Amino acid sequence: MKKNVGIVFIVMYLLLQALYIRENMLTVLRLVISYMYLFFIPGYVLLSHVKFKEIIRIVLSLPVGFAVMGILVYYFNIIFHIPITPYYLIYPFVIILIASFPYIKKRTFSRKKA
Amino acid sequence: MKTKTLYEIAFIVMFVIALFVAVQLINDARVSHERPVAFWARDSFYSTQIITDTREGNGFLKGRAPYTIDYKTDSYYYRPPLFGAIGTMLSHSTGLNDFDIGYHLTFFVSLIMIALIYVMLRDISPKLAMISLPLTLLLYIWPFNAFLTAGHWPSTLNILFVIASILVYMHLKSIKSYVLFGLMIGAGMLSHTRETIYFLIFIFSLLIIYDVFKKKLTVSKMKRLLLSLGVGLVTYIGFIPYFIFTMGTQDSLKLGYFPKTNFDTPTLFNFHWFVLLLLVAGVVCFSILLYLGKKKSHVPYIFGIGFFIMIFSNVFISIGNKAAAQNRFFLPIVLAIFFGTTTYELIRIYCNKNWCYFAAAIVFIVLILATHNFYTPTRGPVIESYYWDGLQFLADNVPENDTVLSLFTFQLGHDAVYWWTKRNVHIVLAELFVSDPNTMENPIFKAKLHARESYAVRKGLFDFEIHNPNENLIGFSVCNYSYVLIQKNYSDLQLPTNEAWHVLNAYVTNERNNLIRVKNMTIAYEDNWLMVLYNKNKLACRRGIHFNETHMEEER
Repeated sequence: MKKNVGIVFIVMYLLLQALYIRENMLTVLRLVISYMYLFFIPGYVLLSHVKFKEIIRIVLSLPVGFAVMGILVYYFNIIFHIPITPYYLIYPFVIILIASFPYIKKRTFSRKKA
Repeated sequence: MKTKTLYEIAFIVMFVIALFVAVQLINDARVSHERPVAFWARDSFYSTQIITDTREGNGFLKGRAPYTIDYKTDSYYYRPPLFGAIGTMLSHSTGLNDFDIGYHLTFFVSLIMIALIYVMLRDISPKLAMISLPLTLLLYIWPFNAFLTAGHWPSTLNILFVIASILVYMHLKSIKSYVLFGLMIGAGMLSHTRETIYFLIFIFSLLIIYDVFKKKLTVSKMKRLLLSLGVGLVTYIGFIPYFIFTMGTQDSLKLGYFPKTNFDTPTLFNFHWFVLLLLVAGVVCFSILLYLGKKKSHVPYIFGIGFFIMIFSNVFISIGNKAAAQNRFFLPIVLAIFFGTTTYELIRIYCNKNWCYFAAAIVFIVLILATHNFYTPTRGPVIESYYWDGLQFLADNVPENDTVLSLFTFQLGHDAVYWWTKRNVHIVLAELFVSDPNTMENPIFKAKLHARESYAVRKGLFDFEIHNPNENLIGFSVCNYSYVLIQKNYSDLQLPTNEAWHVLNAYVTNERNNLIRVKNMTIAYEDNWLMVLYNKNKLACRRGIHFNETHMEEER
């Protein structure tokens, strides 16, 4: 999992840097980190609960991340009046935590058993 | 490493290189700009404003930015929220301008779309995916690149969710995958509601019909699909009232006939030499679908056919819905599926070797790149670079909450074009004057006040009032405005005939002099293309001779 996330990060960075060859490295890096943290990793972690081939999971992660983050931000704003910025930074963390919870629990449980 | 994998890796590397060449027309190799570039229509500015409204309001509760709606502050946000939400998050986290983020996000979304198509077709055969992919490069070639340069960016986001939902549909197994399918539909609805409804009507229903005919639709699958639709609706539920009572009242949701004139580009004939092949390939694709063995997935083929019917009915025969017609820019995706499948089947019959598929894919890439410069846009960006300084002057010098009058502008004749200056602008169009040849002999300027952005005001829980700022422009006088923007020169490209160019130039010069000499306005800014006049003394201005106001009132 970690390996795939790393590969996607590098490929995305190389692709965007090549497309925006005249752009500052830091700007592109910031863009890639934003995509990864806000959309890709939440989508990728959520998709671990659905059985897909790895390549499908990787490609679907961004659309799923866009969908989940967009929907969360929208409903938290119109129902609880939570402003988008800077609170949107918390959502991916919470999604990753909740989506990884079954695995963390499973791992801890199996370690205790051992 | 297997030979097949090597061919695939080599192909992907070549495709990425080809992509860099193909995007040259729309990408200047930078992501950040001082001002919007490569914006070819008003809608690009409009789409940018969706992000700006969300970011400036820090959510969806404050409605539209006041400078876009005549400084009214009681508007309600009623556009599908997903594009604005994603754009705001990216804009804040990267520190880039809204116009840069909007443009980049749409471009990036199109790249993900291509990856999804590749994976979708790869599921049938990696060779098929390899042959089909080069044709998606046409997305970045005129006129299809209008999906990016001409705005309607939320529509692109919607197509992404549609394609993602198709990929999920191909792998519907566990209950979680059905929930994911519903989530994708809901996200599509929250990015562009009408287009998602048409996706459900044209593509999803075709998939169901196919399953019914092939006796694949079991009761449990039916139940699970209903669950998916339920998830989609629950996701969308918060936006339903706003859609029905605001957007739904403005543009009809009905499936019906609408004037074709709105959709002159791109048409089927923009495919040039591809057009016949597309039709032949469509027939082959349909035949494959009819005789498809059980092992292969039918979903991409049905998606291609359904998508083609949706675009064809909407754009080419004008039956459909005007607001759901942006998907026409994505015809290359249909082409990729049809044409790729046909070539794949032909090669399978005559030369079933790895290098044949690889060679075919490379031939497509070369053909597309060789011809991509043939199809050039017929006009330049909405704002040419030589207008920047004049508009920047407005942004820097006009006080906030002040309104500027824009006189006789052509490319600047769109309200949304001025929104990045964060000032409200009323526009007097010169179009009527030019389009009427009878006025050439007697050059009386027939102007029309223009500030067309409408907005909704919430009166009750489900009670919304739609306002049109045009109605509020009563008692118009040029002297009411502190700043007047005038276009000084019209290039011959902007006007239909030389005669029109001379008449309008003479007329505008005369009126400009009138404003300075008779109306006592002073020149605040001037360059070769634009002039900004400052109306320091509104009383003195009113004492001067009336400036064609009678004609303007006639039009009003």
